[in-house]
Amino acid sequence: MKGYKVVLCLIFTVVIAVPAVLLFAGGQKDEKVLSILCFAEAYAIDEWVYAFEEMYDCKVNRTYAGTVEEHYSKTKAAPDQYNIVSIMSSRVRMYYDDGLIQEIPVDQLQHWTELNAFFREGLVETIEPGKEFYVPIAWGNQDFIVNTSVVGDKLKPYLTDIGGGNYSLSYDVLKAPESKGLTALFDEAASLTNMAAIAAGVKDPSNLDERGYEKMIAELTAWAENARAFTGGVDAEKAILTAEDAYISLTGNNVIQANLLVEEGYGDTFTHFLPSEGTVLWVDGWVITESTTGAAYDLAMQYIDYMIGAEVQTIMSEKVGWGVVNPQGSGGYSDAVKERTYWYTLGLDNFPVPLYVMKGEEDPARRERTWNEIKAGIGF
Amino acid sequence: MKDRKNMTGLQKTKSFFIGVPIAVWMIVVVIIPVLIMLSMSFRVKLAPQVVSPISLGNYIEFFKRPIYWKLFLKSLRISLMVSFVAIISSYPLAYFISRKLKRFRNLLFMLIITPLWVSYLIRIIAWRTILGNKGLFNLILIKIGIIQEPIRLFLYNQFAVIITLAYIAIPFVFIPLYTALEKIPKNLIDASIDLGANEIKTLMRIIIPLSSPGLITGFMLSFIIALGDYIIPQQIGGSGGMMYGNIVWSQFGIISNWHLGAALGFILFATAAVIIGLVRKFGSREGVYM
Amino acid sequence: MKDVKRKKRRKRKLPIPYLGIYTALMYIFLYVPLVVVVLFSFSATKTTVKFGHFSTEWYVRLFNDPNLIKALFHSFEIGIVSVLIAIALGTSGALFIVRKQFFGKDVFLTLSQLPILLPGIIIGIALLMFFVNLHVSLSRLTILAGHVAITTPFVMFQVASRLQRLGTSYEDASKDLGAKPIKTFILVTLPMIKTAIIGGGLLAFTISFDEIIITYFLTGTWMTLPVYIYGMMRFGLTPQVYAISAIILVFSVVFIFFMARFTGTKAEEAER
Repeated sequence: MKGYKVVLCLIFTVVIAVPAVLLFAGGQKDEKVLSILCFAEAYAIDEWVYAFEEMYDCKVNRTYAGTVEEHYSKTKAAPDQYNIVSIMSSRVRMYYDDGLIQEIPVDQLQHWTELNAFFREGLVETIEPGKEFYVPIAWGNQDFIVNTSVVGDKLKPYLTDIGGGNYSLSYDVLKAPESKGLTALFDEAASLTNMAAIAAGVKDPSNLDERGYEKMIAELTAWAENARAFTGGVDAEKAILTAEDAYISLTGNNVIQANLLVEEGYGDTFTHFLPSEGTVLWVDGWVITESTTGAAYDLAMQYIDYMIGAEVQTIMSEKVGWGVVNPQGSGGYSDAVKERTYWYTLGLDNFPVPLYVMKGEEDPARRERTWNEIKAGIGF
Repeated sequence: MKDRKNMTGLQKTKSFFIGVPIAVWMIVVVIIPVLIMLSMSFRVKLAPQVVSPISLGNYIEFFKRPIYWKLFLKSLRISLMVSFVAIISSYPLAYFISRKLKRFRNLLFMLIITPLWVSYLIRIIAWRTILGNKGLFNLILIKIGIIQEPIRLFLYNQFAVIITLAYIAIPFVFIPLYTALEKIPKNLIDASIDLGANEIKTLMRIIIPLSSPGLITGFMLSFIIALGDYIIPQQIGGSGGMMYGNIVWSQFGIISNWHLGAALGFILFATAAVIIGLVRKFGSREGVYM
Repeated sequence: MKDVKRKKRRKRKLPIPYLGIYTALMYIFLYVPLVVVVLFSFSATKTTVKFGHFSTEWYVRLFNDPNLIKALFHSFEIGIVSVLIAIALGTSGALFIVRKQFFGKDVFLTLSQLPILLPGIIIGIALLMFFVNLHVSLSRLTILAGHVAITTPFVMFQVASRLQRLGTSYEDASKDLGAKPIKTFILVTLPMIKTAIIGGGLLAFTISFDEIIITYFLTGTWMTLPVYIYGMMRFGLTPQVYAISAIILVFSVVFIFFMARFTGTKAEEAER
């Protein structure tokens, strides 16, 4: 065989053999591995994960899921693969009922008592008396991002003065005829159904009766039919706003966008507004999966403790932006957040508009189905 | 001299061994999963962790509630349009490269496939950029002078979904078309020209019919790609963009009704199977393997 | 007189320049989105709406992002191994369906086409239910099973198509000359179907490399590149992904040019 043909055959063999070997043999069994399932760039970012790995001489395996739904379906499909999962406080019951999570002995967490009382007591319904299944790590709320450089003056009829030079924006702007095709909604059933219920004047948006459902559906349908698109992520939302394909976004990523938009030079273009009628507050936190034991369990507890400590909470509020659950970590908010989504620095007692904490709904599956039906009803 | 007739029974059986790997594959990854999905579809979820005995409930649900069958029809319609667009745009391409070019055929063929190695998600994002209010498409139209201001008609609607799905599908349509067109013997074309037909007539009477296996396969691939897709409608389709794939997928989220999801999925499967069967019946006899 | 008429008719063709122009336009259509991606990978800002000034920051960040690179290698590993298995299964399967007659062949053929003719979401769900019911833990092996499922038919039908075209005459001649079946296969059949195998393999690799939906359903923590990107789409889509896509594009185009030179005109003529 000619010289170069031999070389090529060798290269070919290597290219084939190496992946095969790696694929089947490459599962080096590390002694200590912590497997995390959470949102990307949120609850397991390099800034503190690498330090954690060094501190505890372990490997942290991070799996990212894009939506609350995907977290749930991935955990259900592979319950033995993840040690800790980031979930909303309103979903703890759901995970528990499916046998996915185990108790978290919070008295073993050093920083547990540092948490704001709001997050330790009464946030999650009692599942088993005396036992905790959930440790909160961050909170946030939904609000409006508006391209005020274009439509700022048109907002007047919908604005309410809330003092301190700030205004809140009514949900009615989403239904307004002049907004047709110029709004974007955050595509998540739980948030939207709650917010629509608030806008429709329902007393307890987490607990809808039939009449409540009717009002909520009417409101949400009006919003959806007026909308240009439903955004599923930061990137999609940023694109639709900066391209001016929509001027108003009901967002689930307020602090992240606050930081991003300023970073990219859109600081003067966009303004954040709290919804006048009230907004939802969500809380994210960790649960430990049922099958986690041994070294992984220890690491899970250590990581959770680490995350609610002042150091990581500060980094999180600085790099990511979400609200902290440990007041000692509240020094990290960026200037963009302090200016635009200023309410994060006010603490939960001084919220400018009515605040509704998201609790486990009367029927989470029905909320999903309802939102699906509304979306399906808009056709082309 | 050994031929089939003289083989002993054992040797005949042995010669069938070549089919064992493929049969095992077939059973493990096709038959069994589909059977499992089928059996799950015949149980209705009554409560968390509680299922009913065998029942048609899930299927009745599909026909009863417009959210399911309307979305299904909408997806069928859009998939047909996507396939149409993909085939119409790929055919001249395949024709030109396979029959008109002498050199660089292989290279050009491969260059059609190359875009498939860049992630599908990234390509969708690129289209979102191109079709957007400040995107390339608008910019070009303004430059040419067709419009003065950017228009919002190109993104977050059916047009965007069809273009993007067709874009994804075109390489998959191109391949079977190219393969089929390449197979047509040159002497048939020559004969046609000798008998007095011009190129267009040759195309219509001979080339297109003979390339029908490729047309059929291309159509099927494009149709299937479009029918089950849920990412493009969600990212690019705008408020009206929900398609059947989204609702099937949704059953595996918080709604957590895998049984209904299996049933909805099986309906998709059955429809695809029926269409495949029909199309092969009416399709060319020659194209069995493509 | 008739000859003159024929010559005149032969000259009336579709003007080739138009088809050529159309083809060029189609290639531009296919590649514009990719060019956009490359441009954004060099854009200093994170936005995908306008181009910032030139920057290689994202490439630098990419090389410091072990997870993204790991995901890329995983995609590569799965791709190669799936293709190898698909070639083994597909070639033996092609020999089986083309050369052997058996009862229920039509059904068999339809069933074997199903994995590529069913939407990914169906296959993903079916395989997920399969593994969950058998209490098989999701891992790289379950992903491999899914990828083998959808890639094998491509190889099988490419090879089958070629086998059918070639006919049995060469193999019969070989057997008449006394060669055992295995020898016939290696020395006669294999060289003839070589390009079909390579073609099918390349297509199979392409499909496996960019596969999202089935992989998403069947993976636990083992990430391939497309699934990793998918998981980032909520909060974390950083321009590193554009950088890695641009790199993949450049590599692919170079690879293609290389392969085309290699299997170039000689092979094309040989096949005619």
